[in-house]
Amino acid sequence: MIQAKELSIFRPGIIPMLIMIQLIVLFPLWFELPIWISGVTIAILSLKYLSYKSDINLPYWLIIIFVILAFSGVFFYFKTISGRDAGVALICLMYCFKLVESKSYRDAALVLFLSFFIMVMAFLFNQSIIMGFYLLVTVTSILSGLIALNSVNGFDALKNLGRISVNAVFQAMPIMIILFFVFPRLPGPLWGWDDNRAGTGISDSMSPGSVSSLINNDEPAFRVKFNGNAPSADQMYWRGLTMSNFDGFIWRATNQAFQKTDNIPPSTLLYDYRINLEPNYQKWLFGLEHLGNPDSSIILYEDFTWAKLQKNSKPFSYKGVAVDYNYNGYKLTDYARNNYTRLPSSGNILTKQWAKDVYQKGSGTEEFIRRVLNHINIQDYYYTRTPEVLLDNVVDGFWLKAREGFCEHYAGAFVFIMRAAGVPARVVAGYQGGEYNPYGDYYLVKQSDAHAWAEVWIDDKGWVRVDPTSAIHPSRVETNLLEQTNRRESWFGNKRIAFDLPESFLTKMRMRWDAIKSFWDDTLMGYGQEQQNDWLSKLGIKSNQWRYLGYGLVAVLLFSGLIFGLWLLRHSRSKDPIEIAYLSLKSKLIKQGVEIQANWGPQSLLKHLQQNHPELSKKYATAIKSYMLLRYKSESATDEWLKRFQRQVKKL
Amino acid sequence: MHNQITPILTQLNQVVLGKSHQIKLSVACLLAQGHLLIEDLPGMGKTTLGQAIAKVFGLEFQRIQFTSDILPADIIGANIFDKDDGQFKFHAGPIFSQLILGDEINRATPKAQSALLEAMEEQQVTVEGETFDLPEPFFVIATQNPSHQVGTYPLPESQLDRFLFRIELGYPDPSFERVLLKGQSGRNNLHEIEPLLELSTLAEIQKKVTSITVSEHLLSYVMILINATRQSPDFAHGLSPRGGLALISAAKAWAFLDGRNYVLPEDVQQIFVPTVAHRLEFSQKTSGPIIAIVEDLLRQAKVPD
Repeated sequence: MIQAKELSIFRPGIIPMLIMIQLIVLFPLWFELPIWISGVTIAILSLKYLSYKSDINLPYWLIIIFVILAFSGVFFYFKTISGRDAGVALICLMYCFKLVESKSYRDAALVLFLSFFIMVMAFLFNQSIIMGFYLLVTVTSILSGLIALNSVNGFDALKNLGRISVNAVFQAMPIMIILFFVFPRLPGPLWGWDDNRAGTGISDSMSPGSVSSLINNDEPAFRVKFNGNAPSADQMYWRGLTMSNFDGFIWRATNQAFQKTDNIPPSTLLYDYRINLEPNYQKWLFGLEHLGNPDSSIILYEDFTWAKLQKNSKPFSYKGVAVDYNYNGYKLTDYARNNYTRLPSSGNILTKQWAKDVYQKGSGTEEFIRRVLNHINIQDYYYTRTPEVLLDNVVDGFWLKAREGFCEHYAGAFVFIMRAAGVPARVVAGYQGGEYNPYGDYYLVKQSDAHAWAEVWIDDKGWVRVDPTSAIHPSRVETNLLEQTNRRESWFGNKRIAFDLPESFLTKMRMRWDAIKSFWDDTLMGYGQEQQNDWLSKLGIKSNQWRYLGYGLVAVLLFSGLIFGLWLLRHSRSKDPIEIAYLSLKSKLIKQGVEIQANWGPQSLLKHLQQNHPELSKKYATAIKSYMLLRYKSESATDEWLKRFQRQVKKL
Repeated sequence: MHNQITPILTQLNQVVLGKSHQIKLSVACLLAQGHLLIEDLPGMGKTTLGQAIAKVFGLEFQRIQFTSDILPADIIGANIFDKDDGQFKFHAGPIFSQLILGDEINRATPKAQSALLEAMEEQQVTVEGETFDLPEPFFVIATQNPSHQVGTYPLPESQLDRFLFRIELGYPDPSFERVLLKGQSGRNNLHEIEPLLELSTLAEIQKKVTSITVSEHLLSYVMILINATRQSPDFAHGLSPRGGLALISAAKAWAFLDGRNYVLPEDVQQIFVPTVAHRLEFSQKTSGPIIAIVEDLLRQAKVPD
């Protein structure tokens, strides 16, 4: 029996190892904590190393003074000691102090077990895939530490220790996987997420330059996985929000009412998909037009946009449906018609007049739309990210003079023109396109895919999407934007320039990496209560039964523990096939009511059978004799004999 | 070869009645080339057994009655001055014989005891610098009275170790005793015993016994038993390696007597008590019949499956 005394932490190498482990555990937290806290943790650990090297024990009162200083430091910095940031800072400091005052095996064990906790805290700040792998490294090193601490050889056998702890990590994997799937998930995060960040991506107002500012942003906006068919990329218009309030310069989204069920026209389902949205700190959600009513957690607004109640501060996954509405017989209410044709009374008079002139030339709305788009196509309208900056009468300036702009200019001007002619119209902001990733079978929509287009109300057809930028002749599109406009729905069939870049190795690698990241974020990190309920309901467990899930979990753990224990017992004692067969022979005899003494060899057993169970002895004699020869007559111990014995036992 | 032993056992059983197990043990002891110590009260047939064995195997037999005044020279022999030759000549003592029956060995002084026991161990005798080999085979059957009897010098453990077995004869069964009392069998048959085995055959059998198979698995069982004696709190010390070797060779002889050429755990169990009991010493806490304790130990040791 090894005494705790023999496992002293003053054995060579143990304390430096503990310091090393603490550094590994704290490393990811240094990037999240205030600099001074990170600095202090490093200082404390260096102090510990110095005192270990020079063999000086820090006096206890000094440690207490340090602890009080650190405590008040945290309090004055954060004005609190609770909450995520202050709590993590405090516990990191105390974690380092614990090692400073460690004297016994017990202290060191405590430091190591605390390490597991601190390690998980880093995950509160950062859940990236790299962090996941780093945690694996951390777990392995903490386990090595535990094994070294508990091994008589201590630090010396580190080579083996590493292997043992890697083994332990891999052996824990099945349990980890079971826990991952079955452990009851809480609806929200354990600690509040930071909700006060500025929104990213599409915003709820559109002024010249607001969309083009995203063109260089290669961050993913969301990923889409289709259930079944997917539309072609040029049909992928991801609606975010509509803007119908124009003040002469900026288009703004108006507060929308919830869509009433009886206002929804009859629809047929087109596409069924799931979107994994990156955190954008906005409330609105994106969906493929036309947006249906997919999910109870998503609110459908009157303008057929989606939103949820809280800001998206963490990856959010939701089901989406694209439907085809049948607007036959549907009319806009007077209120809505009024709303969607309203323009500021002053300014941009020339464009208003232009619109009215053009409208009168044709017959009806659709003809009007075609004329306007034709105008864009034929006249020298340019598509560029760096248009002339206009300050006054921006629509007039763009439409009649500069004739160059980005999608927001075109969408804004187009809606303006529609409204000027009395046609209800609105601006739609969202994303267009999507890059198919064959490795993960999903479409990646990036921030650079941000787009603005228009929707026009046509009686009996409802809201019809018109993308005025797709009418620009390709020869007048900035070359680096060609790829983008080529993806858009064509109005005139005059583009389709072959523009398929060969997939370079780099592209493939990027796609693969994105597929891995998407799997990590959406499938692993995004596995929440909803997904769990989904998965469990397939097994027939309803969401309100998750108490049973808990019971089930305990049962599974106990059961697997039991199985493992039995397995250990069986396999640590005998791996010998002769023994296994003979034990089975004996257990068969015991079932027949034969009492077998532990000190009986095969001959005694046979004799006992002959005397007390003559009918059994006839049946068992050959097998027992085979065993005798196999065990005690060395030349009989061949595979053939063993097989014969096993057959004999099986037949009994 | 085993067949040649069976009539010997039958013959012996006609002389010493109702002691078939002890007879078998004695023969096993001879086959394993060990020496036999019979401990019992006077008049239990110890001497008869010794004589019968000598006769049936056709061995040259000498009996030494140990008394308190016996000297080593009385056992080994001495250099005596020969008047005719004018020089000292070695006169061999009774030990120069194939089968020695040392009666009441614990009546003799330690000096005389050790003369016999050294000869047993070394198979040779040294007198005044001159070494004389003892005959082959050399088999000693010693008897001793229970040590609590008056006028005994108990043999030290180191010397008890030289005996492969220590057995007790005990009182005969009433049925056999009745026959014995009629005086028509037993000792009277002794004179009618004819040697049933050639000396060369005995040597062959002894050689054959040593080559009997002891499997790894059996060794595991023997190891369990040896460790049990060493770990038991009842004994001051456990079985020595020599004791372990004795277990193996005795078990081989027993297996041979059972007509097998491999050893079973049961063979070990049969010879365990006579082989082990006299080699162990109680620790101070324990008292009582040592045989019962050793039997208990044997009962608790599990035969590996």
